Amino acid sequence: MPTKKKRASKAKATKQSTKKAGTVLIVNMIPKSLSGETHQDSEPTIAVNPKNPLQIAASAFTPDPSHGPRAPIYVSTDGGATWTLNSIVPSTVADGSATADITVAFGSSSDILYAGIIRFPFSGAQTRINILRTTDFQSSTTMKVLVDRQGAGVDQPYVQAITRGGKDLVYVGDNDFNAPSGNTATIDQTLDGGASKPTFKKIRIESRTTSGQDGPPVRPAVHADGTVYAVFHSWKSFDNQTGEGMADIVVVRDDHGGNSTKPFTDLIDPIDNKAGMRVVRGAKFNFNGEKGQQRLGGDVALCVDPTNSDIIYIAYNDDQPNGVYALHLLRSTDRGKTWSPELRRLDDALNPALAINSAGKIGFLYQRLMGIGAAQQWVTRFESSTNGTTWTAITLSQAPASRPRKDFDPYLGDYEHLQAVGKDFYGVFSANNTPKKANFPSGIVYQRNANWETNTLLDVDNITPVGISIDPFFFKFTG
Amino acid sequence: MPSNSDSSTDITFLFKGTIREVKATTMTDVPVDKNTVVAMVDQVLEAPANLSKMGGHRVTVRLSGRTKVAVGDELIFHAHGWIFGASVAVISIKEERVRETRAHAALLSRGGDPVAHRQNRRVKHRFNNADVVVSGRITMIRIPADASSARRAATNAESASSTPEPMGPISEHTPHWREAHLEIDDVHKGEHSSSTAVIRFPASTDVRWYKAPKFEPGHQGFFMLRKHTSSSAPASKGRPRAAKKKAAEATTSHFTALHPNDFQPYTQPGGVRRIIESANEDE
Repeated sequence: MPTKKKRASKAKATKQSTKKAGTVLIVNMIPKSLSGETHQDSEPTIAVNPKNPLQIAASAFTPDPSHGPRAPIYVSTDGGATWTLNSIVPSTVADGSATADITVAFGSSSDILYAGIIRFPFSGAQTRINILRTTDFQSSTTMKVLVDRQGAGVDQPYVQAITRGGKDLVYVGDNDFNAPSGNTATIDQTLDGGASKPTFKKIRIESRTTSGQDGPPVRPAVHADGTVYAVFHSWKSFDNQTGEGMADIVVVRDDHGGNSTKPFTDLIDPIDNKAGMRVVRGAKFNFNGEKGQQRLGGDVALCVDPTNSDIIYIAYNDDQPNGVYALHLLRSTDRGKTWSPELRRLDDALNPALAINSAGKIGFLYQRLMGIGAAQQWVTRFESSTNGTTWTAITLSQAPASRPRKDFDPYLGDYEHLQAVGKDFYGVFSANNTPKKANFPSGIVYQRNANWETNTLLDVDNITPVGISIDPFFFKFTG
Repeated sequence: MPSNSDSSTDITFLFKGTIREVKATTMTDVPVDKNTVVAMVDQVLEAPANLSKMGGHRVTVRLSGRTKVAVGDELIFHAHGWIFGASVAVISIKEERVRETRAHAALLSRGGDPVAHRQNRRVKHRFNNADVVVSGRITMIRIPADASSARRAATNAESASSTPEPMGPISEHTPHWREAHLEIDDVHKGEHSSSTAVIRFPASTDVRWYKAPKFEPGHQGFFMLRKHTSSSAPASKGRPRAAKKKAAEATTSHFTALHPNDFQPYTQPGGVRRIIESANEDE
């Protein structure tokens, strides 16, 4: 719980932050030596080392460029200005090793990088989760496997970590089909991720009857005081023929780092007295939906204020009349017990990512389909606010939604990512990589070869034209 | 079901190079140790597309540690990628000194496209590991009777029946299995006595499955297949003989072709056709 002093300090910091205009750096992360690549590098995440923000790791559906036995992560050691690919993830595909899902996170003061992945190879439809770590993300040593589980399948691992008392607390939200009774929303948790053999515990955070399972996204968020939240899509109905369903957007909380007797049951919904506040009930979704080549199905995001663990924001999507896919932003200032009216609603926007900086300013990253017909564009925006009501927006990228053609799902990703370290926001998104200044109104830096006069990508010889594709883009917003 | 992965990935970049510096790198981000050298790529012998244009470029090589090298040494490196940045660093699994042997002379004078050479090696690997290689034509697509997956209607499901898929775990990675019925013209490897076969394939376009061949009626060509047996019979208590008989009746066999190289249309030259032709010539 916050003290009065903390609240006063936060208020002061918030006031100061409104006086400063932020500056933004945006970098295309594809290295120069891969100037000829045309892969769909979608679904990015980012991990900034809070102890040394010059060290940044990132991930995407980027395969090993040399078709080697391990999948790559993106590595920067200069705060995001330049990037390399380092293939250290144990996931093997014959024609370009990659993962079927990957997220990354650093311990806050341990220098350890953790990853949650769906590992190749896996048999049949049963996806195989691995939880990994490395103490040196620049080395050639394969990341160490901490958890390797398949069974009936585990989906969409989403890792978060924090260092407390010299130990890394690691939380991986996932949708575990091994869970009994269809209560599949799960946190895989260890209270000492740096131990030689960390013990992970599977915590089932769904307390209610589901339609047979929960939805894929389970998103934890951790505060330094030991408060851990998670938000998930609690499926109430699902039509197998249409892909349509209804879900509750549920937030759970643990006040002791997940080390409670009954973990993640500290937030009770007063209506049914069950663990997990149903912030939204009956949100409609369609798992078969698509907009601008991007699949839909229900996005969620969550962040907690580092200056006050009472304050959390969630973002979620739902289907609205007339085919609108609406993104909503809500806030709680009492640890999830009560919720604000809608702070933001953005039609046909998705991939929400949230973070709050050390001054209490919230950052909100999303991608929105704008325009009509052939003029439709995917627009990636970063908004920030000191109070949740007045927002400053910058456009990071805007490019035609119909080009390049999709190679696979997801086109842009089922998520993107945002992290705050100190006052700065660090984010990553995937977008059309056409080298055209108008597509990047806030500026852009490319590592790969490009001719900005002819709007053409160029191969490593700096002569041969290369087709456009989806690339990951890093950005840093100085708060 | 197997994955579309295999173990042919360890060595992907075969090149002749000359050592230019020892205990050195071409990029500041690469950690240096006694096995780290800078080599000039003199000749790319086999490579994926991203490394095929490295001829004439200096790259960082982390040596296997089994070969002592000095500046000026010429070696053939059996490597795979490691770090890609402003330059490239690779991990060498094995190094061979260039010698005046027939094998080295043949390798270095082979010419041709290093990407095609690698592709041929991959196809041969799939061929060798296939249970059965046949040629024929797809006649029909349908949803398997025992499919246990659901979710997104497949993008090419219009060729499938309108029978809904049964419920099961639903995720974005659900394969949406389909069955392709194959009329066989010829068997080129393995034993298959029937004139037809069933190939199970994922209709999903998810990142997990998009590379697997998506069959349609009328597809004709070579099929490199792996055999699978699945049972739809539930576990039964008591009366073991009856249960065994029931299980046997419910057991079905099918094939998979999950790797992009596992189907090659007749219109495509080389690849499987070349392997089959050279095998026939040997006979």
